[in-house]
Amino acid sequence: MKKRALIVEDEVLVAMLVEELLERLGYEVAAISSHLDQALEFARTIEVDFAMLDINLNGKQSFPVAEVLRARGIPFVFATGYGGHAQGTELFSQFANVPVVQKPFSRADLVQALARL
Amino acid sequence: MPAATDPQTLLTTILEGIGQPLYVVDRDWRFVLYNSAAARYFGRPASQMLGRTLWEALSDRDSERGRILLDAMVSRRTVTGETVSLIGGNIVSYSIFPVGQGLGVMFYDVSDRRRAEADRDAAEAALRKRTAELETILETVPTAVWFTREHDAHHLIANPRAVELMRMPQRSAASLSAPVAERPSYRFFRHGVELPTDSLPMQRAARGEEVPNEILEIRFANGERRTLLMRASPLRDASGTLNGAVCAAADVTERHRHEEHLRLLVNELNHRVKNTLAIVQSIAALTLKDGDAATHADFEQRLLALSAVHSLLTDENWDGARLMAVAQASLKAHLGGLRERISFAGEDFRIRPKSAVAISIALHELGTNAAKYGALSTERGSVAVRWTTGGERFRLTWEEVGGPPVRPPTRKGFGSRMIERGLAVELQGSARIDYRPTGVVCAIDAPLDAIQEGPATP
Repeated sequence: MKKRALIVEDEVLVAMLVEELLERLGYEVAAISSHLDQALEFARTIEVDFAMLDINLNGKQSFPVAEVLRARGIPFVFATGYGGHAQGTELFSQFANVPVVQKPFSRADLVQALARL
Repeated sequence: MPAATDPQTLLTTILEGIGQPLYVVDRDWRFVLYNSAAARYFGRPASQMLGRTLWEALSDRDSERGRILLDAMVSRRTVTGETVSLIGGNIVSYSIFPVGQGLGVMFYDVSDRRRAEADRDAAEAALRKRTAELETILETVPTAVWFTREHDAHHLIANPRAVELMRMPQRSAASLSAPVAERPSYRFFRHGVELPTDSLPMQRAARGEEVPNEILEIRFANGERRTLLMRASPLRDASGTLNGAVCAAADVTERHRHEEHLRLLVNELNHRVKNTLAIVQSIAALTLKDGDAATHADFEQRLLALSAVHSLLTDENWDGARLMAVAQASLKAHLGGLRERISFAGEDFRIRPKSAVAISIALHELGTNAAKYGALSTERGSVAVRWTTGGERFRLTWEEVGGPPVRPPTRKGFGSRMIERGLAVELQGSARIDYRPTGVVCAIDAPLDAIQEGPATP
């Protein structure tokens, strides 16, 4: 059975690319969300094997979603357009072991990050 | 000692023993006694003086000294005081007293003592002036300054700016080192971690340490926070013994906030650019989904190379970037598994943002070409990237060896056009690709100041 993924990404086109990449890599995309509230709802309810989580959702940080996923034991990869600077923040440091891909990322970058889950 | 001494011997002994000049004149002002201290003082032996009158030998009646002597002779009272000496303008302290019907005069030179007193008065006046100047400076500077005279810095003396800044009730107040009951309620933090009292600049300086500029945050009981730039120095006396410390602090809260705001703006801008690049990548991927996979891969690699150099520049606030980091980042896509086959050699230096982008794109194109047709397309080939900065010129060579035999391309692709035309223009120099049979060699030559990050940007 294919592993199921949740994509949280506020840029629709980027979400479509990630969906495409994941499907080509043999995963099934269970849901895509671009809003924090909906993403939180999905994170609490949907059965998935892992998630791709954009850190910035229309100006809101998605760390609450990360906390829910972590509480449920669902691994995830952060995607971010912020450089190395932003990773020094207190919130970020709580997820020090979570793999991060910098946008824009290549298929190879994604494969490498998923391998760390 | 004999039971009785001859009175003349006794007198002579006393006269010489007192060590100060002393002479006695009779009612007619003739010297009758004149000790050797007087002889030394006036430079004339007793033989020249005894029997002569005072007015012949030393003084005239109209001088100040003369009037004092005349008054004493008439009043028959002891007179003491200070006056200018009969010789040399020295200051003497004198005692004139009746002896029989004449006068005894004893004096000693107080010039040295008076000079020392005058010097001390002048030094005190200079010190008062300096103190007044320093106090005015302390009142005026926009910097908080406080000092302590104690090794444990229990109490602080503050200038008005420090009183204002620290919300101290008066110029002198207890410090955080003071006993708990007297201790003020503010606390200091460095990077969000509370500093133990022992580690505060003032306390460190009071123990003899020179504390250079340090950014600390002070938090008050009411929740208010200020960012302070602080420094402190030990105070030592002339012998070098530690006897306190002085500490200065500038409130840089607004400047700090401003810098933080700018940093966030730059971060935000970078985030948007990265997002836009990701959108462009997505559009290309979705558009070319069923198209030519190789073309799509070329495009995506170019976009990712641009994004990589963008990240480097953002990390440096777009001030420039290190050439070594730029070179390595631009070949990142080709380095996977080929790390030891691409070598970099050259002195690392900071280059301008535009140069960084141009060099990065050029190296990426060379890398792509090498991976498809050149040295990186085989198992054994390798690439050497070298640069020099001598003679105010920047010279970079890309040299492939060990690849398949090279034949010049029949038509120039995007990569070679980009390098020979675009890069040359960006660097105000030249770039030439030489398709040698043994391997591609690309030589870039540009004026160093056109690419080196410098203070003046035209």
